[in-house]
Amino acid sequence: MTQVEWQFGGWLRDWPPLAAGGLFAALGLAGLLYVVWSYRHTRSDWSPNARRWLAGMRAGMVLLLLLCLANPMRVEQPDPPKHPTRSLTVLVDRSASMSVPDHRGETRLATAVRHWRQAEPAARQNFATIHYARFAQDAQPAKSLEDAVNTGAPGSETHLFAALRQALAENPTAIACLTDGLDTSADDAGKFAAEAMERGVPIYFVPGENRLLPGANLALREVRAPARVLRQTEFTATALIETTVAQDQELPVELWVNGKELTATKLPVRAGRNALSWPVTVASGEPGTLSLEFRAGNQSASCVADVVESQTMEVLYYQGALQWGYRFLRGALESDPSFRLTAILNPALQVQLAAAPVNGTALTDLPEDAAELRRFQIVILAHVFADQLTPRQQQALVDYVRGGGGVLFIAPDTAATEGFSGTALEQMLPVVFATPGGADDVALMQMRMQLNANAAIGGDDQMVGGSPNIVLRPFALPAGAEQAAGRRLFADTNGDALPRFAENARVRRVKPGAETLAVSGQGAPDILLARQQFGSGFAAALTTDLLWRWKMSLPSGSHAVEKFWQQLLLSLAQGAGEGLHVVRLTDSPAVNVPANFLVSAAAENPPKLEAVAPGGAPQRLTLTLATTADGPAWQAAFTPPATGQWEVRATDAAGRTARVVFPVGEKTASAELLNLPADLDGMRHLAEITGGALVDGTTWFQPSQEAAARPPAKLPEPLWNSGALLMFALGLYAAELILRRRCKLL
Amino acid sequence: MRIAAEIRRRRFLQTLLAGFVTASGWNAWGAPLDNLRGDRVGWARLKTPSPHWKRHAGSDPTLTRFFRDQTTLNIDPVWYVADADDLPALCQYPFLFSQGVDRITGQTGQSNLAEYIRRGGFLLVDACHDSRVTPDFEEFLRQQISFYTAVLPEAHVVSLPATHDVYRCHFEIPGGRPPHTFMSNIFDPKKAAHGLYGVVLDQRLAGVISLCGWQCGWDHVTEFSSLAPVGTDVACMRMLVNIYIYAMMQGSSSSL
Repeated sequence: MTQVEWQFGGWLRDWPPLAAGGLFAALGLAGLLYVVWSYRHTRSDWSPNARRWLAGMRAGMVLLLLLCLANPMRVEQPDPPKHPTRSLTVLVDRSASMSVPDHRGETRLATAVRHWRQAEPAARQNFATIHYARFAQDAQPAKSLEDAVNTGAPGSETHLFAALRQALAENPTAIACLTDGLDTSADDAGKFAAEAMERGVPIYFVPGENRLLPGANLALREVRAPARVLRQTEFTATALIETTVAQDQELPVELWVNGKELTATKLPVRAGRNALSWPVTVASGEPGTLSLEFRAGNQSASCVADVVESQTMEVLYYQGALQWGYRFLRGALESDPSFRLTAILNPALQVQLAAAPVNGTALTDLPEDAAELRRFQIVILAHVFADQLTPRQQQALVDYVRGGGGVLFIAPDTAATEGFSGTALEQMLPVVFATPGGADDVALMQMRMQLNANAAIGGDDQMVGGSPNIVLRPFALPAGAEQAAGRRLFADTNGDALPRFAENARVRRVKPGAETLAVSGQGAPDILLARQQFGSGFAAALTTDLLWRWKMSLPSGSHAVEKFWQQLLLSLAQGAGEGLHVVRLTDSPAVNVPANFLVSAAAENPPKLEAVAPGGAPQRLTLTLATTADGPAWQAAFTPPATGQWEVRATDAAGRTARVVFPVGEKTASAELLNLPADLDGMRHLAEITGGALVDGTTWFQPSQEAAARPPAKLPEPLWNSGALLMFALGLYAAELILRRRCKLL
Repeated sequence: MRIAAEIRRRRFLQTLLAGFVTASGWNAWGAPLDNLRGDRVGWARLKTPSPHWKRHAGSDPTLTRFFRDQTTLNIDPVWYVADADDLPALCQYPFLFSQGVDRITGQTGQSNLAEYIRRGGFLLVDACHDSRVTPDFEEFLRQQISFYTAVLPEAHVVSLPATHDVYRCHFEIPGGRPPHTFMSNIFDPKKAAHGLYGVVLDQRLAGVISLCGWQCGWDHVTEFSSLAPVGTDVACMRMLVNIYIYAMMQGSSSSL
């Protein structure tokens, strides 16, 4: 049970409670006496009943007013720790990285166990039952901590997220995991984080560290670029690099286009394992073929993109609320015949318009399969509410973008965007939405109150000359280096030609790596337009209305609106899929160990694939059809017989070439045995989003739900300023006035 | 003189309840209307030199309430004024309601209205059924068409077929025939024979001309007489909702 204390607020808080209470008791008593006295000496003759009722109401109102003046505060004390029947699952990482001793003979496993021993008494106090398990590739139950630590040999890989997922399936109250936080499988950390957050089971990490000298590794895993780009436009080519280093440093990278160096930079690399994405904006130039080659360390990877004269942009528009933006957006896009717009309205709007079939199929709702979306270069989600999109529809959108599509999310309503907080769609978008009940809701309520204050109803003369007084505010370019992308988007515009909006939603922040293209220009700027690369595609968020008021404010001869929308969509559409490129699937190729490759191309027939030895001798590789999340591709494998720099080269029917160049060593450099530093940041993040923590001697094991529900100690909450109380006082006063009138006193 | 006043318990409780209901109503007035709506938009009447430009406007809130009850449109419950001589005021509203545009004879008003439509605005003209306001419906239609021909020569006025989406995009209008109201509820077959006329600009519907007198319907003018068909007001508002939604959401040119 919550313990509640009362205290006076405002200037009375500093008074001793007895003195403050005495003062108000005296005032209240005086008020009551006055009320009784005044109704005993009325000018007219009243019945005792009338006197009693009227005096009672007046006294009630006086007491309520005194209560408001006293400003009582509710102060809650946290409950003492509970000892219910809760269960804790303790997972022990038994992978090889946990068992390698440093120069002192200390292993990470031993460190983690020592830390756990310190926290174990608190865990035993808070959990009725504790289950143990050990894991490397698989998780297996253990009888005790000693059994988990000592039984079996260390595993060759760490499937950390799989083990946590398996533990979550047992529905424990909490999980404690003794690990170095390094998952050496191909599991997606972000995906698991979303799952864990949804489950709400707190995960506590007991970090295992030692002083092993970390090794280093570099893999230029993949390069990505659109298969086709329009002439004289800009597009984004991206290199995906994985590297492991012992200490913070910089990694030099270069991009060469058609044999000439286009740009070079140094990417910051932090100690440990890094997955880097280096997007580069490339000018397409005149029609032809662009060969894009990224270089990092002793490795390189290339792909090709076709520059074409023109292409049709298929746009799918999905709308969740009735609003005018569609009419104007459609007009803006249809002014250029290369844009073809297909519109779907949420069925709940009950609007039925003759829909033209697209490629023979009429869409009635947003598809739940990414394959159905791939016929479009862009999907626009306008004024959509979270409960209108099924999880499958959201996942289809995520897969669609990951495979090279573009999504533009438009919402001017903070409350609507809050509904997407924590959804799959939000994971893809470049912004983090506010959560329901946050500070933004207060601002929203104030805005609605203001709007409703205008909502008066009257006769024919009502509101003559009135107007909603909607002020349009301009977009502004964000300060700092990241504005380059925004400048390109709003190229050839001056201040007057920048978009102007009437309403905007507030988001919590822009995600790391996303580009902020536009902000509001007043006060603390709100994010208006941001985009980020997600997989092979782009996701963007426009937090304003659909800018129809901007269109209506401009002369009909202006084409600023049309230009804005067309440029924005072109910047998000990356052509139909990806161009010819090769992906190295094997982390660390070694002599006499098969290495795997994936080849993608926007073509029906497979390209020719060759492995070129360090001496220059080519070897033809056999391709087999494979299906990936991004669509069809081809897979191949070969076993390098010698060490040195190898090249795997794909050539399509048109003679275009994409390749990867990589070193082949004597033996495989396993990520497990690279002595990578423990991923403390990753563990801390995962722990925090689930309500857990990194365990030390002071850890207090309380499930997140209880911790969230439990107010902090001494949380004052004013009690008098509630609508119900004021309404009650007003009701008393209104009733008293009416009765006084009936009694001929007024 | 002393007045004796007796308050009975029942009377007191009734009075107290009335006080609470009043206070509750005031409290509810400020509550959010609905979360699941798009951005807010106002309902406005076009102010013209005609003395009748705001006839029946007092009942426009009836229509906007109908909008909010029957659709998710986030429309203001009040009615606003858009003066034809004030282009920025016109452009605050994507949809304007008018008693007739033929009375706009000034150069400013005419060019403003043409510019409003070219920017993407939508204009609905609906003739009042009162013979004192619209003595001749055929003449009224000719005047409207003449106005568009002179002021917006690139537009053309077409008769909307009964199969048009405007008759079924939200409510199903029986037979694809718009509801009519009649002066003193006396049926006029000549007037009733008219359907709707669309103003088409660049393959999009930029306006509608109606001789139906829907505003008289939702103002319940027709129900003053016992001869008025029941539900005329709702039928008129349904037709208007359809036109409004079609204006917002009209799709390809094939639907024209």
